[in-house]
Amino acid sequence: SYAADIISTVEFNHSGELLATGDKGGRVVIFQQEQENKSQSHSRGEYNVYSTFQSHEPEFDYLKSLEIEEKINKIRWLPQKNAAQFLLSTNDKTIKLWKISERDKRPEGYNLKEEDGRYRDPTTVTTLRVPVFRPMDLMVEASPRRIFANAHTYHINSISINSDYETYLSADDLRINLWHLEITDRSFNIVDIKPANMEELTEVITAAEFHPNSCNTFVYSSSKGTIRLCDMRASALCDRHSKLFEEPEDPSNRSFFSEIISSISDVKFSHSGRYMMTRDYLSVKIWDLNMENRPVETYQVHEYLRSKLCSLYENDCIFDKFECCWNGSDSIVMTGSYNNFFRMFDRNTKRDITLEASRENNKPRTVLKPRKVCASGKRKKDEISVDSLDFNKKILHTAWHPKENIIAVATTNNLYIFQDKMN
Amino acid sequence: MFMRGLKRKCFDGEEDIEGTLAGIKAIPSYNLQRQSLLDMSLVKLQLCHMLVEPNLCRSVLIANTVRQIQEEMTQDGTWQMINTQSTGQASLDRLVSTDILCRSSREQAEGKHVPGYSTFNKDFESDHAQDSSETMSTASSVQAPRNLQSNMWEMENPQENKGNFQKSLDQIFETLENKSPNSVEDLFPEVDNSYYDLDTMLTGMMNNTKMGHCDGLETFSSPTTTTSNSNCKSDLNELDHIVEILVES
Repeated sequence: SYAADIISTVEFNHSGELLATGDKGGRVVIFQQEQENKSQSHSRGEYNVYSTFQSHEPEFDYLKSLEIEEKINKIRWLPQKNAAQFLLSTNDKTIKLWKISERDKRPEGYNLKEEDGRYRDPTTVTTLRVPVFRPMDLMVEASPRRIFANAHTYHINSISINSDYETYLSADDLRINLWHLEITDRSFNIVDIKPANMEELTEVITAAEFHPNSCNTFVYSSSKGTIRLCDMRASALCDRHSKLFEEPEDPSNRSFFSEIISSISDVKFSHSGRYMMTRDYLSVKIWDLNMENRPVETYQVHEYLRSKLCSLYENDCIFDKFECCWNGSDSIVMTGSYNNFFRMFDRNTKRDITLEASRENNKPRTVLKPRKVCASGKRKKDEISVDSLDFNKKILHTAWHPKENIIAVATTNNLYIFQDKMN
Repeated sequence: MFMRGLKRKCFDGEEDIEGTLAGIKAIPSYNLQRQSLLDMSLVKLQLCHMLVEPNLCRSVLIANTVRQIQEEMTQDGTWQMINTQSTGQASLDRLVSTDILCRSSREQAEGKHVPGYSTFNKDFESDHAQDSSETMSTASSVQAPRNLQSNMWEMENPQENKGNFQKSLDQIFETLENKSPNSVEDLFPEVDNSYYDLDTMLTGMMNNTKMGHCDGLETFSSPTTTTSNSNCKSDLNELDHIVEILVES
């Protein structure tokens, strides 16, 4: 497959009807769920391609003599206000607001033009008629409505739309900016952790998100495993956090890789807004916003990798940035792993499951078979040993439908959509 | 006195050596492995400059790892065991220099990059397209000969050795901050020349380098802008050689 097909972000819209993916080639592909089939009332609609467009192109920064990748880092949907859909997509440097609208009618019967657009000779026009709208095949058009550029020196890793639906934040390695969706020529810098001397740089911003309900609150995570919650009412520049979430290090597990594996690759608020989830290299942690000194829940994603950290450092896998997501009711969290495995943790029952996203092992409409990795010792039948895991097959991006048990899982260049078996 | 957890800190596939007696044997093995982790990290940091634009998070994490290793090396037996020459309290500032001096030539071949980095001009904050080769050459001409000289022979001016390692990491962040087409080549020649300088002085192993440290230092100190064309190819060859050594170790 083309390298450009590598999926780099996956996101359901607020209703779950649309699913957007971004890829390394700067393209956005939107899938739409079919309307439920009345005859097959037990089956939810499938997702089919709805729209494809080129969001970002590669650029060249002449000042630094560096290429700016067109890879889409994040997509975030705006809530739907009218017939059109809006989403924000971003690469390393530029955020764009896209309008996706449908056209299913077109005007016909012009007096001065033929149907194919050629102009008629006016002298041949003998009668006048009123053009009318006639149905046509559905066409979905994407057009860029705003381009938010030149505000980030470093690579943008996150965008997050505020609950006021008027503003949004964008975060790069060292700074976070606040934008108004209508205004492209300026943004407010609300967090700046760049040291006066770059020599002193030891920590970067890895992710940021607005609180789902509280429009003055946002969090950002760091490469040292901390999360800072900031209140924009406190001051214009939110360099002082309101809360600092950090778990003390376990001294018995200390190694040269401790910091790297503590680096947070994703942070997501629960839908309720009461909790937030962070993903570091080996685990997923759930934090209660009222408790800063430790997470309330910790789930091990692939603890068997702890003894392999040196090799994973050597092949750079230790720097892979896995994302995580909540289900609609905040009862289950999901994240990806290697070998095209992904994991789900049920917060209530404390059960977890490992599943695989691959065509070879799963026929459509069959139930996914749980997988198990054998860490050491005798490998049971159907178990996979750690040493035979394929570290090139990584699932970094997953998404959960906001209302139903439908999930989207992205392998390197394939998108899988799974739904739970309905009774 | 041995550090707890020494035997199985972070290295994969190593046999779990039980007991403190075996711990005695574990020390050189641990040090070698730690050294190879250090080597690997430094290669990663250098390599990341060859990419379009380095991933800052990754670079920061690797640089922090390198610092951690350095800190540990200043605190543990590696440094204490070999520091027989110092008159008074062992000084952290002089670690880097004594470390290199007191290693066997084999160990030096494996890990001679440590004091190799020169200091650099800290004035990187300027937003205009400052020619980084300028700053590099300025820094190297002023600082490097003094540093290397004091490292190797006199062990005076320990303050200059202090943070040598730190500064090598900072150098990387400078180039991240202030990238220009010359920056990659500018970074490498300093590393390469210093490698050769050390080898020439300490082991005499290299037979295709400049004669004695003086020549090496002069080459080092000349502005890279004027000599960059001629040095470029040889520098790249030297880099291959260095990388080879690091990888083999």
